[in-house]
Amino acid sequence: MNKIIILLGSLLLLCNSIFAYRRDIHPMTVNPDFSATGGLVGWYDNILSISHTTTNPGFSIQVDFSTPAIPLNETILTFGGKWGTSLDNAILIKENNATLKFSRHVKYNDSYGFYESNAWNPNILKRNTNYSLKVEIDETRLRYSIWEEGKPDSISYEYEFYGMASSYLKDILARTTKNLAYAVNLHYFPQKLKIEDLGSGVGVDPVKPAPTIRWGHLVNLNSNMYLRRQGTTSLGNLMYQNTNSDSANDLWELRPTNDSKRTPLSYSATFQNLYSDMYLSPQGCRKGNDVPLYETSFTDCNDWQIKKTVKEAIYFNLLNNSTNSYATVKNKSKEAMAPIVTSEQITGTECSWNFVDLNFDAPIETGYYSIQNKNSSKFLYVKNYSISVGEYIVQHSYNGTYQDLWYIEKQAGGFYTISNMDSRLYLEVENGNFDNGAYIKQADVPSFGYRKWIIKQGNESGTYTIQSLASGKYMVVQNASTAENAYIIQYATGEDNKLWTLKKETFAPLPSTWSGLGGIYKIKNLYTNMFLVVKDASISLSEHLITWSTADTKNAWWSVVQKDNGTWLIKNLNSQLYMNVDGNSMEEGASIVQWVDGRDTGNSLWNIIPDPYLTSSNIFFLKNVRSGKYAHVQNDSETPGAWITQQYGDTPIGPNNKMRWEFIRIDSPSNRVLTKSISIDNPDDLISVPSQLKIYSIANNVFKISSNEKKIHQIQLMSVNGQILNQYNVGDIQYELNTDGKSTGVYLLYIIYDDKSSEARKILVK
Amino acid sequence: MNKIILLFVCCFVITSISAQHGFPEGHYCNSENGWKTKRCKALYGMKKEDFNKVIVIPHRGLWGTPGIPETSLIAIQEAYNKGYMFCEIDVIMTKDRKLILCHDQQPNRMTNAPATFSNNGGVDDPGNFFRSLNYNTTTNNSVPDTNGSMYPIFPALKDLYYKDRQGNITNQKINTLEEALDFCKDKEIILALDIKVSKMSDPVIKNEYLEVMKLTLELAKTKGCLHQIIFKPGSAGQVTLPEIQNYLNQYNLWDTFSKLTNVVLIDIMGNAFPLATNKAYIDSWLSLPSLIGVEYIYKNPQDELIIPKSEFGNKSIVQYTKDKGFKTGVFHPTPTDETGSPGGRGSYYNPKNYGTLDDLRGSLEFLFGVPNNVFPGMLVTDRPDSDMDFLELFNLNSKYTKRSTVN
Repeated sequence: MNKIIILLGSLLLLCNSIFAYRRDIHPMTVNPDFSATGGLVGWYDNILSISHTTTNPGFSIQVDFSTPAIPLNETILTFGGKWGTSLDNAILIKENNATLKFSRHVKYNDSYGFYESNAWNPNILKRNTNYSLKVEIDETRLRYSIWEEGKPDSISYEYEFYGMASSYLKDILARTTKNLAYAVNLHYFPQKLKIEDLGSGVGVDPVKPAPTIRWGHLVNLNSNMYLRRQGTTSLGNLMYQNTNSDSANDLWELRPTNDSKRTPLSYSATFQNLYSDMYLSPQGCRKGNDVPLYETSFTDCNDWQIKKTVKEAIYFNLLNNSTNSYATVKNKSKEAMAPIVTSEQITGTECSWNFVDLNFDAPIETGYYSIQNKNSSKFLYVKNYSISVGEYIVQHSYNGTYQDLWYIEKQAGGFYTISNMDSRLYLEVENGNFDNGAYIKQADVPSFGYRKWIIKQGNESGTYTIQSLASGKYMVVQNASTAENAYIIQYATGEDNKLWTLKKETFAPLPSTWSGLGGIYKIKNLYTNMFLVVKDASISLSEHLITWSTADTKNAWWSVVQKDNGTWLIKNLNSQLYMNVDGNSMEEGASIVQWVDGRDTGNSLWNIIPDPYLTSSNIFFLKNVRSGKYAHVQNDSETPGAWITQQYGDTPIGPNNKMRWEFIRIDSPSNRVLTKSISIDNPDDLISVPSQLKIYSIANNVFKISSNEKKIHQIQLMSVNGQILNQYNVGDIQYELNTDGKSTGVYLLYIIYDDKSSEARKILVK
Repeated sequence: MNKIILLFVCCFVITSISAQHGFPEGHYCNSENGWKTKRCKALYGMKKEDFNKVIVIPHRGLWGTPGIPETSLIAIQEAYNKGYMFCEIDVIMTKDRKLILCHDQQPNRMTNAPATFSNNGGVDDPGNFFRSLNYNTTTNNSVPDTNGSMYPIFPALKDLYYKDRQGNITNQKINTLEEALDFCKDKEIILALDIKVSKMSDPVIKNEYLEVMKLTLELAKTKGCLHQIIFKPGSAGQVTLPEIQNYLNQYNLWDTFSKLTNVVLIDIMGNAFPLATNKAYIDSWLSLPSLIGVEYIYKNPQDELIIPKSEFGNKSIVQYTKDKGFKTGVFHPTPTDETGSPGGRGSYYNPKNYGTLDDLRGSLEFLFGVPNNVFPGMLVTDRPDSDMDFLELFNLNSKYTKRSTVN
């Protein structure tokens, strides 16, 4: 029988894997199926079988891209049906200066047109910023969402009450069988394109407001006692009532399951125990009277209705939505350890409960802290700098690296989770043990009460106690040792040994003149004048980063993603892999290679430190979070091909340091060189009109700018960072621009036409 | 004899004017001065223009961009500044009988008011909120908080600020209808007023609805701008002409309503609208002198309003109305906030409204693509600028949408 169930389960998984389609493309690397002028490259897909007569599966398309220094106002992403060797656009998303513009192919009677409208949320796009743009569409809804890379909270939605069923899109997609076509614009450095089906029916759900989660005790009105699990480390405990346990056995997370932001008179919720992370439920999902309540990880019968009969009352009845029975104390008992069971009727106040919210003082703010024991003066860190789950936590002398830092995050109810900045793993009491002497370790997820902590002000100023929420015991050093690498344990008492000094760490802010590290960069070592590249343009893991004399290919192009702690990931555009210290090494001279970002562990995180000695705002030191050492060119070699390694050095940020790196932003389409040639398969199917703009030098530093037919409204001369230096009103199809007096260097021309379209070009003033 | 001829000539002229302009006797637009104004010409356009041209009407004002909240004076001003001739706005009466501009029955989606309680999560709350709160003074123990207890003191509504579509509190305090009329008076703009109450099936609530009509008529009469408002009966639930007449007769305001102002009937299928397809009900409204159009809120191709019916001569009700000489209109909703909320009565999340196969009002292609001559001549919309771009693609824009093209 079990085998049959397993077989059925496997089949189900197989079916899911067949239908849950997802395709990831790296547009800068993968050959396109078709291309067109304006930088557009595209692919076909066969995930869709759109029909006029059925409710079709929804799908989403997401592109990660970068905005250039000046608006290009071109198409960023478009999709539709396959049309010959190109694309019949259904939807286009364009840049319109700082605003996104949505364009939809529409039909009315026998007429067709492109219906363009600016986003309702204007001025979303910042310059030189990395974004993710996602379109989700199903039968009846469509949603555009955009957020800055690494900043999910910056998300902005544009939502419409229409979808395939009510638009011409369905006609386009149903015209050809199983052919979805989509294209992105290389001028926006599309780093990743993700296509995903949303399943059958209405896939684009409205964004639900986050439920108001509460943490606290369930208190019975009749007995005035707390509903609690038995209090063993094994799971699946029955429920009893008792006085306050001073542990997480009687702490519950109340999570509303209804969709409203408000709390109505009656609403549904789950109760999850903070110690065990299991749900309150009638045992075995059984109906009837006197069924014991227990804890379960199954979700079948864990939905409870909180029913108030009088609006003003703080007490409520707890009705299980599956078994239609109420939670009550057996035999109306007022004694400790009386079981909690079900009752099909409300028999009295023993069926009434109150939820008393926890509210710890939470004396410190969320942030990165070093944690120093008052008794030993040593610092909390992970044994052997390990990034493995289950490693012990010990104390040691401060070593100056970020491994001594812990991210202490305040949670609802006033307690905390604590994770190491390097390993990104969470402090826990081993096995959720309640006993004195249980070891403190690191765990992968912050669930369970024994991975949550109460921090209270200590007796002395600046010191704090750290208690396990589950056991209520203090974090201390084993045997109050002052030795290096002594273990950290939990214990009920301790004088100075239970006191910890928490010192908040702040990271060097970027200069105010720096507009942000969004966009695409070449990274040049200032001493050797060589660029940072991946050896042999490899896309393999662990390949060395080396220096090279040129940076014309995407193998030498990098983007950066800021993490919530102020550190950065540095990503190669060609391989989509991240700059990383080989083998998590702490050693001097260890190689810098490319690697997946994993869980953003310290060996792939970098602190980008502005150079305090040079006035330029785009020169930095790159300090690895795990090792605390700096990226530099091995032996300071000026020969191309030299390895990049990590080094500490005596004066890493001194004025003569050779570890400076200049971030040179790639701004304009004209200096973006593709490594493969792109052919125009069918010029008649061009997605955008090719530019007629010509710029040529007619004398020393005099440029002729000719647009062929379109009248030029204005020309702006800009620095490569997009700062407007001069602007010229033209009113003609051509203009002679004299750049006398301008310093030698590269400048940008931003040409705005009378029809409000615009484009940018780069010029070199000698 | 000359006098008789003169009398005939005068009668002919008067009749011609009435016939030409189609406004009832006494209506400002039936006067020489009135006819010179663009607002009267726009009203005339709504009555008499080619039915295949579409007048676009900003819904809840022109709003949605940061700092411009829906249903506020600044949203009306924004519509006026962008040149719109018509602007729809919602009106609610407070406990102290002040008419304020607000769409929801609960104050906390649209303003910075404290969150209020709803029996079932806000989808269909009983609506005992604004009608229980004072505009000018604080209110004691009148509305429930989120736990179901009563707020001991609720702030005076006049001290609250509107929130914008992004959920940010603006610097715009709650506006009154009087402020809106003061702004619009003598300007080339028409305000379409949607009176919001909770349940018209409740006689007490219906009486309050009629009271708002009365107060609005008195206010507009005092301001001299009766011709600048359009009543939109039917949006909040069914109300019949006899009910209105009986109520207004008590205050000698029936003639004012039936002749001196303007009416666009709202008709929609649903439990709150049992007479939606009743011919006698429809006919009674179509014979009202102040009626200038009907907004038929059809939701899908099977909607009873657009299907031919035998009692309407095998025409759809929409077609029947057009044949009687009236433009028909539709409502094109867009989510009211970034979470995709359809808005209304303070609901934050109601996936059943709009964006379903049963309710395709969010799609312009559907609204304008319905067969059997259902094509609407008025479009009430949250995105008027954008929707005008759609209509422009197919040469469907009416010259009466914008002030600059009315002549």
